[in-house]
Amino acid sequence: MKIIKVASRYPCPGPRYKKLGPSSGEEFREWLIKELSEECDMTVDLDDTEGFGSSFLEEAFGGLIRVGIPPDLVKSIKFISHEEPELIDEIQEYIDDEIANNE
Amino acid sequence: MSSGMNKSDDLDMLSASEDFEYGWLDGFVGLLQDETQYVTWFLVLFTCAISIIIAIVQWTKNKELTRVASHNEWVREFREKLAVLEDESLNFWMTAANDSRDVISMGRLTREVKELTTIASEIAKVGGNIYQKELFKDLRRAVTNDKENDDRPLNADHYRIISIKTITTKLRRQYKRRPCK
Repeated sequence: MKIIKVASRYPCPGPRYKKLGPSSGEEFREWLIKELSEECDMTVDLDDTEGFGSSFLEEAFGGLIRVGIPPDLVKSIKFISHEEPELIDEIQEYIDDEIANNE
Repeated sequence: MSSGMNKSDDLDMLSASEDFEYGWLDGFVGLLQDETQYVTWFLVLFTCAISIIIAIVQWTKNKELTRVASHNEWVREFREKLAVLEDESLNFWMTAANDSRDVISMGRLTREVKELTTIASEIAKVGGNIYQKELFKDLRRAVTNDKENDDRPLNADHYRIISIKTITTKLRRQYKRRPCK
């Protein structure tokens, strides 16, 4: 199982798109896709950052469905968030919303 | 000759020591058995018990006071930061978009939400209100989701403006100072 610690690469998660600034959700999503192509069993650790904006989360995780990553694979991603446990529910909602939109 | 005298001295000292110990013990047991001393013993034990009870009560009270003071300090900081976040987020959403400033403003709002959730965790640790998962999720979404960024400035009756006001009010109701008893 691979554990991705967001803070190790993006200590200050940024805006939604790359064009808006560094450490964007779009950039993070591309890293996620690269990692998913190497290892399907993945855990994302959300702790120790300066904080996530909803746009970042939506683009990173809802965006996985939009770019065509199979829903089962996206749903299989596990999360660690001791500092802000509600982040996990929020991400799951973005994934579910996007799956519903695609149906 | 000299060693014999030493042995004799040692025996005398041992005997004296035993006499002292038994004498002290006898005296103590004697006091316990002395019916005229019952009142004295009762007063001694009663005073000891009262002292211990007072010490425990004071310690418990001080511990609780420290906990309440710590809780109230966190709550004060939480409410101050919540007021700042409410003002800044309403200001952000109710003014026209400005690409050069917006990314910085949104980054600040995002950090402020994280500061609030961190303080809320500390409040829970000192025995305060439990961490409000749902409210913080709604707050983050209302403040930092850029879905309607192109529609700015939003009107005062826009659902996002109403959401920010409603959620911050709910959080203020949840996180209140406790009275020091």
